[in-house]
Amino acid sequence: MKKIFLIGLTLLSLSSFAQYTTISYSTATPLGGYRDFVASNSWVGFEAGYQHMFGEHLAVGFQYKYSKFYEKKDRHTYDFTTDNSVGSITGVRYSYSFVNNFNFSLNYIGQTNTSFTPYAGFAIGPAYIDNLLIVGILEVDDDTWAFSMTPQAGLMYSIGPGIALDLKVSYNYIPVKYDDVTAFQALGVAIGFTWSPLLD
Amino acid sequence: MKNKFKISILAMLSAVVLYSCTKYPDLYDDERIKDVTITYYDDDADFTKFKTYSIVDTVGNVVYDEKGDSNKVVPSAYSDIILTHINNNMASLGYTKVDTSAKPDLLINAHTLSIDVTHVGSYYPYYGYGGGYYWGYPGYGYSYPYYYSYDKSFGSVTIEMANRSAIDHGANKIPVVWTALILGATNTTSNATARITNGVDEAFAQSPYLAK
Repeated sequence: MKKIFLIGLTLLSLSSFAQYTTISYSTATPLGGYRDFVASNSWVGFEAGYQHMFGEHLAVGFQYKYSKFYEKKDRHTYDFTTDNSVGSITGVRYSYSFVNNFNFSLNYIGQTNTSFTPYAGFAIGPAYIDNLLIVGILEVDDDTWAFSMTPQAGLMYSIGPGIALDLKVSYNYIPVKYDDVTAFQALGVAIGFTWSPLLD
Repeated sequence: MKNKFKISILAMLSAVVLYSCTKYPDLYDDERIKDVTITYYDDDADFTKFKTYSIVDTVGNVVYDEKGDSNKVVPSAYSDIILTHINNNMASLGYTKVDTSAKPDLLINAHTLSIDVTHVGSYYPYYGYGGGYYWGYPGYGYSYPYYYSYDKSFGSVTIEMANRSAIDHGANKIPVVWTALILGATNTTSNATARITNGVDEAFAQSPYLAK
C-alpha cells in the first residue's frame, strides 16, 4: 500500500507534462453471480492513473484500482457437500473481497469548447482478488490472479488552470472461479481530480 | 495558492487511500457471534430404521494433564445441561432412550474439549477411558464415513451417534453415523449455558433427516 501511495505522489508530480494524472475515490456495486458471495456495495476504494497523449485524442497509460467489499449476514444455516463429507453449518457469516486491478488503459479524449472534456475507452491487465469467508470462528481465505477487462467512460470538468473534477463510470469484469461463481463483475463510479496542462 | 490547493487535495485523497488499506476491523463484540454449529452425517445411513438409543451417564471434559504430558477426561461442568438437551431433542425426534444392555440401535456420546486438537474427526485420544464416559466396548475405536478436521477445538462440545447394529467386531470398530461440533460454546464462561443449549438445539434442528 505504501508503494502505491508513493506511485500516486510520483504521478502527481508528472502532471506538468502532456499527460493526464488522476486520483479518485471509487465505489463499486457487485453484479451477477458474484452477489451470491458478497452483495453489498463497496464504499472503500480508490483509483490512480496516468495517461500520455498520442496525437490530439488518443491517450495511453496505466491505472490501478482497489475495491474492498464486505457483507455481514445474520446467523444462518448452510448445507455443504464435499468429496469426503456432507452436512450443515450454522453461524454468523462475514464475506470480504479485496480486488486489485493493474491495468493498461486506452482512452479517446474528446475536445469541446467548454469546460467539459468527455472520454471513453477501456483498460485491461492483471487483477489480484483475495476472498475471505468467515463463519463464526472459522475462516477460509482464497486468493488468485486473473485477467481483467474494464470498459469505461467519464467526464472531466475544469475547475481551474490544469485541474479538473473527474467523474467516471466503469464495468470491471474478471473471469475467476470461486465456488459456484464464475466471474467477478462490478459497476464502478469514481470521482476525483485530474491534473493536466491540457486542461484550461 | 495553486500548490496549497494541490496539497489539500492530495491530503484528502491520501486519507481515502490509507483508510482503504485497512483489512478488516475486529468483528466480534459478542462471544456468542463466534459460536458455530457443524453437523456431519452418513448419507448412506437409513435413519428411519433407528428407533432406540442409549447415552453416556456423564459428559467428559477433555483436558491436558501436565503431569502425564497427555490428555485426560474429567467430568464436564456442563454435563447435565448437555445430556438434558440431547435427550429432549431425541425424544422430540421420536427416539426412545434405553439402557445399553437393551441393545439399542444408536449409541450417543458427548464431550467438551478444553484442548486444541488438530484432528477432531478420526482422532479421538480419549475414548475408552471407562467410567460413565462411554457405554462399553472397551478397546473399540470409531470408524467414520466422512472426514473433518479443525484446529480450533478448544471450548467445543462434540456429540456423536454410533450405529451399534453395524459394529465390526472383527476390526473392533463402531461406525459413526452423525457428528455434531458446537465450536466455541465453552471457550469462556460468558453466557456458556445459553450458548451450549442453543448449540445443541441448533445441531438437531439442522439435521431433519434424524426424524422418525
